[in-house]
Amino acid sequence: MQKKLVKILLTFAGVMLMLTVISRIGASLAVPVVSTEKPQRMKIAHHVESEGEVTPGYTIPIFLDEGLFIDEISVMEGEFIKKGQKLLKLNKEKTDRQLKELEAEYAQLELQKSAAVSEEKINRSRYTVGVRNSKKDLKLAQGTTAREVRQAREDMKEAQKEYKKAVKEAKEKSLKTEEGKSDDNRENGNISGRKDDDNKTAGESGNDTDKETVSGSGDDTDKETAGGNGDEGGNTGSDTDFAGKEDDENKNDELKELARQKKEMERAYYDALDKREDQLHSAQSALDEASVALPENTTPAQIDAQKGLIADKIRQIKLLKKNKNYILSPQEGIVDKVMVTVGELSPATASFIIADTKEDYKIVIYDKIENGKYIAAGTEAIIKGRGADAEYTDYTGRVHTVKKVESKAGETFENIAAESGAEDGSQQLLEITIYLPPETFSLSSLIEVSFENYSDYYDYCVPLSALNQDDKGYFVYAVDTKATVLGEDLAARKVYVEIEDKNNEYAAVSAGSITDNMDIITAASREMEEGSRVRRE
Amino acid sequence: MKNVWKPVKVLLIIALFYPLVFLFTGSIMGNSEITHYLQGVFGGGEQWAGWTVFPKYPTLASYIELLLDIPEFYVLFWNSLLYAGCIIAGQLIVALPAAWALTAVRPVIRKGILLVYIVVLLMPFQVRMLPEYLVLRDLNLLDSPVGIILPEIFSALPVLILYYSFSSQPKVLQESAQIDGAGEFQIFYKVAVPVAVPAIVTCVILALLEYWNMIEQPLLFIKDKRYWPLALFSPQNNYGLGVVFAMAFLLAIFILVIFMLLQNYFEEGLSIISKE
Repeated sequence: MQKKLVKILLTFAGVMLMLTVISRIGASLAVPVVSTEKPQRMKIAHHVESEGEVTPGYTIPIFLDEGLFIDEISVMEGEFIKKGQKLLKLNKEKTDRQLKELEAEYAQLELQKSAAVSEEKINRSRYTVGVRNSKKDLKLAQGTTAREVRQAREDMKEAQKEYKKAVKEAKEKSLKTEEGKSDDNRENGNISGRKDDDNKTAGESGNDTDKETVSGSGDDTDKETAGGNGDEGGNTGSDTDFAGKEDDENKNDELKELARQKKEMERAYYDALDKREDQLHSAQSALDEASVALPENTTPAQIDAQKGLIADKIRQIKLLKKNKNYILSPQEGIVDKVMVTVGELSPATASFIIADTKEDYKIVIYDKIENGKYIAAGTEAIIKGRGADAEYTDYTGRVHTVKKVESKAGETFENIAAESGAEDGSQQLLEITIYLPPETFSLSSLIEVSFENYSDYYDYCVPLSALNQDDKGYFVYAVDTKATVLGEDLAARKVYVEIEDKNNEYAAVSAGSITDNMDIITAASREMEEGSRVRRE
Repeated sequence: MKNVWKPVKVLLIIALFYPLVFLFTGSIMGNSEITHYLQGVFGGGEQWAGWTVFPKYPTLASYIELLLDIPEFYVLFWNSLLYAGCIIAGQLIVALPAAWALTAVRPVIRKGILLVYIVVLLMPFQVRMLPEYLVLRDLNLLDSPVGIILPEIFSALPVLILYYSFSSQPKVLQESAQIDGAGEFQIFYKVAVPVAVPAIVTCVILALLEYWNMIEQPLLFIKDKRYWPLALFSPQNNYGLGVVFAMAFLLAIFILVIFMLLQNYFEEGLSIISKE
C-alpha cells in the first residue's frame, strides 16, 4: 500500500513537474521579446526624397524662316554641338525656287512702290494747283465785287444828289412864286403859308429821313409822302396862275422821276453788296475745300516694309546657299529639343532649342504639396546621380525656388497626383527648382534628390516604430515592472501621447505622462496589449 | 427501516458530491456558457443564477489552458506542496518527540500541559493572527515562506493526536523492547513510532486538508506573489472562469485521491483517538 501510494505520488509529481516545464517554455515563447529605448531630446530631421531630371538652366531658341523645306537633320537631342556646326540641310531645288519667288516678289514690290510714288506726286501737284486757283478766284471775286459796290454807291450818291438838288430848286421856285402872290392871297397865303410851314416842316423831316436811308435804314414811302405834301401845299398857293400851275406839275413829275431813280440806285447798291457777299463766300468755300490736306499715302512705306522683310529672307537664303544650304549653330551647347521634321517645312516657332552649357543646369522636381512645410528656398538638397563622366556622384545644393503648381490628369507628374488621392487626377503640386553648376550631372539624366530640414529641439522623441494608434489616439508602450506569481515581470503599459512632429524615423511627442527615464518599447516580437508580459532582448 | 434510509443516504451522497460535480461541470464549460449561467452572480444583473449538470458545449479548453498555458498555476501548486510538506514534516518532527515526552512526565504536569494545548487548539486563527504577525515582523519573517511554515510547525493538534496514540500503546511493548536491550530512543524510534503510524497518517491528512487550502496566513503575511499558495489562484481574475473551475476541481481531486489512499490509516487513527 505504501509503495503504491509513493508510486502514485511520485508519478503525479513527475507529471506536474513536466507540465511545469512545458508551461514555462510555452509562456516563454508567448511572451513578446521587446527592444526598449528612452525618450531622447533631439531635433527632428525632415528628410524628403524625390527624383528629378537635369535640364538646362538657360536655353537658346533657333528660329528658321518659316516655310523652308527640310531635307536633312544633322543633330539629335542631347548631342553636344559646337558653334558653326551643321544643324540641318535645306532642299536645294526648293530653296532655289523659293529664292526666285522671293526675288520676283521683291521686284514686283519695287514696281508697286514706283507707281505709288508717281501717284503721290500727281496728287500733290493737283492739290497745289487747286489751292492756287481757289485763291485767285477769291481775289478776283473780291476785286470785282468791290468795284461793283463802289459803282453802285457812286450811282446811288449821284441820284441822291440830283434828287436833293431838284427838291431844293423846287422849293426855291415855290418861294419866289409865293412872294409874288402874297398881297392877293395874304389871308389865304397865311393860311397856306402856315400850311406850307407845316409842309416844310414835314418835308424837312422827310429829307432827314432820306439821309438816314442812304446810310442804310431810311423809309422811302415817308420821304415821298412828305415831298408830295409839301408840293401840294405849294400848288394850293398857285391856283390862280395857270402857267405856274403847269410848270409846277412838270416839276413834280420830274421830282417823282428823280425819287424813283434814287430809289433804284439805292436798291442796286444794296444788290451789289449782297452779290459781293455771296461771291466772296463761294470763293472762300472753294478755297477752304481745295486747301483740305491730302491724306498721307502709306503705300510706299508699306511696300518698303514688305521689301525689307523679303530682302531679309533673300539675304538669309543667299547666306544659306553660301553655306551649301546648311543651317549652322550660332552657339555652343547641347541640343535640348529638335522641333522640326525631315520632309516638312520649317515652322514659325523655334526649330531647335539649344542648352547653353556655359550656364547653370537646372533640376525641376514635382513633389507632394504636404512636403512644402519642409522645403523652402535655401533648403539644403543632396543630389545624387551620374556625372558627365558617367560616375556616380554627389552634389550638395540649395533650393532656388519653390512654388505651387496645378497638375492635370495625364501630365508628367500625374503619378504624384494619383498618390495624393485626387479624384479627378488634378492636384496641387510643389515645383522645386535647384540650379547646379554645368557638367556636374549629365543633361537629361535622372537624379535622386533628398532635402534635409531640421526642426527645433524636442524634449521627448521616440522612434516611429514605438508609435501605435487606436481609437483614442496615438500611444506608446512603456515597460513597467510588475510583481506577479512568476516573480518581478516586465509588463507593457499604454501611454497616450500627442504628436508634435515626426519624420520617417522619429516622432516628437508632447510632454505629459512621458518621463525621461521611461523605457519605451520600440520593437516587439509579438502583438501586445495593455498589461502584456514582455521581456527584454 | 433500512429501505427508508437508503434513498436518504443516496440523496446525502449526491448532496456531498454535488460541489465536485459543480466544479467538474464548470471546468468543461466554455466561458460564455459559465457567464450565462452565473450572470446573476458575476454580471450584477437582477436575474437568478442558474446551473446545469450537462454543459451545452463541453470543452477541455480550460484544462489545456490551465495545464499548458498558465505557468503561474504550477508556481502556486509547488508553493502549496512546499508549504504543506514542510509544515507536515515540521509538525511530525516536533510533535512526535513532544507527544512521546508527554507520556513520560508526571500526570499533574501532563494534565496542565494538555490543558494549555487544548486551549490553544480551541483558539481560532483570528485570535492568533495579530500576535503571530507581530512576532514574525520582529523576526523579520514577513513576506517569506518561513513566516508561513514556522508558526504552523508548532501546532497543538498533532501533539495531542500522537500523545493519545502513544499513551494507548500497551506498556508491554516498551517493556519487551527494554528487556531485549533497546534504549529509550530505540524504543521510541523502533517500537512506538511504527505502532503510531495510523495516528501519524491522521495528522498528515488533517494537516494536508488544512494547509493545502490555507488562505488567511499567506494573504496576511506574504505580499510577494511568488510565495502565494494555490488557494489564492482563484481571486486572480486575469483568467477565465473555466480555468478557475478546472483548477478548483484538480485541487479537490488531488486531496480526495490522497485521502482515499490513506483512508484506512485515517480511520484507524481516528478510532484510537476516539477511544482515548
